[in-house]
Amino acid sequence: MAHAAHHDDHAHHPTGVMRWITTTNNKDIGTLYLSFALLMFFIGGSMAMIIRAELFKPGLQFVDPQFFNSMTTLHALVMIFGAVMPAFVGLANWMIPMMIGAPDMALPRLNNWSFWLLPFAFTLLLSTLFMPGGAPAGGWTMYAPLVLQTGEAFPFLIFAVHIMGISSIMGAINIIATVFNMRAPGMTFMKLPLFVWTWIITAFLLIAAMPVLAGAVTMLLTDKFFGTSFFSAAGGGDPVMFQHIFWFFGHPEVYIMILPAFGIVSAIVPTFARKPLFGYASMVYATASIAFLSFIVWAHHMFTVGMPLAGELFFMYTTVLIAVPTGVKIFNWLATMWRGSMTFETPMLFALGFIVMFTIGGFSGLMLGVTPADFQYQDTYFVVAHFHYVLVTGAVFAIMGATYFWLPKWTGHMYDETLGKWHFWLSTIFVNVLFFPQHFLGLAGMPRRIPDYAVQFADWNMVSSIGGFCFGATQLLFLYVIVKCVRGGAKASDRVWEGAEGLEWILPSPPPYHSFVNPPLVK
Amino acid sequence: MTPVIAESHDARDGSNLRRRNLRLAVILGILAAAFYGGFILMHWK
Repeated sequence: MAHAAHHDDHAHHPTGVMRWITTTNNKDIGTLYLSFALLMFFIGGSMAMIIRAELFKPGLQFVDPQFFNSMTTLHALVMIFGAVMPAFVGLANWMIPMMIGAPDMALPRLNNWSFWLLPFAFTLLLSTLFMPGGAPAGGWTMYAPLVLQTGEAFPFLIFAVHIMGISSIMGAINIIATVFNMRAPGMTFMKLPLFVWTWIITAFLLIAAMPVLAGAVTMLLTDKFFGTSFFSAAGGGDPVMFQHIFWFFGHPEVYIMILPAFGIVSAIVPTFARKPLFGYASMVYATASIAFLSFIVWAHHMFTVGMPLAGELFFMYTTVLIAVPTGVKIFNWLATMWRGSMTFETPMLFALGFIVMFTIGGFSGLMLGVTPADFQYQDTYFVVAHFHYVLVTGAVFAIMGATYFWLPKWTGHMYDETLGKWHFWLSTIFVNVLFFPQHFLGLAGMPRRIPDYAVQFADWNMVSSIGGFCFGATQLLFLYVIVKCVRGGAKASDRVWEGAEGLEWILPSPPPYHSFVNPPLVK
Repeated sequence: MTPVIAESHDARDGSNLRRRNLRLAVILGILAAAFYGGFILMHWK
């Protein structure tokens, strides 16, 4: 440790803006990723506010339908590729080297490039808002042939998605190389923290899934500009094939956004239950099982498109099968807490909120996975409610919990616990006011992706919008807590949390610029 | 800025870590490129 601190004192790096542009340090790049994700969270959130304002009551209020559709499209792209995924990569950059006893990521220059592609990708994407014909409005799924009607924004959308994909693949390669080659002596695979395990599996998912998305959008590009007919029936192609290819990427993508969240919850729950994680090995195998299954369930997004009965049965059974390893995880978290000496600091509150509300999203997912029932739910607000429970109270709550959990380690200051708890409770109340009524709307038949609706849906839409505005406003509190903590606060100890276990907690808070230059020996 | 990782870890076990990292990155990169190209060629019309 003394050596690490000594080395840190001699770390010579540029200051000011050039430090951030040229940095190859994993902690700097982690901070860049997390800051970028937070910015995108607020940009994507602003789009959600426009959507909820328009849906506050029936009729067209504020925006025209084309712009409304652009908002739903961009909200999804920004939140998925700009907020959730970069936030997880930021957490990986900060935590994985410290957790495995490495001084940095394996490929630091690649790491810098992975991050700095993102601002360009999102500048391309968001610039389409100012183009003739408007921003892409065909949905984040970019279904052909609808998306081919996009105006001048089309090539910008395609190139932006390509760049995001390249960034993700490079980040994944870096994480795999780091974990495979840079673990401290004695840190065998079955001693890795669950967050690292979930990220390795996520990284393999990224390498397998993102090129498929890139291939799909390349095919869209050549169909539009170079005379191919991949998805044009007139030229011998098949528009439904786009949906198959997209969801062959899209379903693993769902798990790319949730597996690291499982790792976070698996770090937080044992810490505040003051017990080791129950069923470590089963957690690893469950994660791997979920990853495998994620590649053989894609057509459950397309039950109503039409496929042979055998296909519908296959995709229904494989989908429902995912409940088994997911149930193993929920059981293990509950068993970890069983008879533990639990305390309820903000990270633990977010982890508990995750377990309860992600499970709600999981159950509605099971309902959607049942083919005949899905014929009723398809393209209704029930689907919107389902995936927001999974992604907001799932992935986003886990990211917020992780932020509170590790912020004292990163900054050396304790955050304001009172405000943190306010943030949790307000978020939890309002996120349920926002999304739970959408189940009712969907079951009553309200279609998704529409700016206007029948008056029978008015009441629950108003409730949902009020929840949305309050949830959005509550996130300003999150921003305030983070800024306040970065700027100062009570000194955080090295271990920070009484029950914290792992290599990252033996480092000072904040850790040296290059931690573990001399690798620790893990027993 | 010069990354610090390679030399410190090279010193640890005597192997060329920088080369091992690069080799793994290239293998994974080729894998990703193969998926990309393969999916396009598979659906060529």
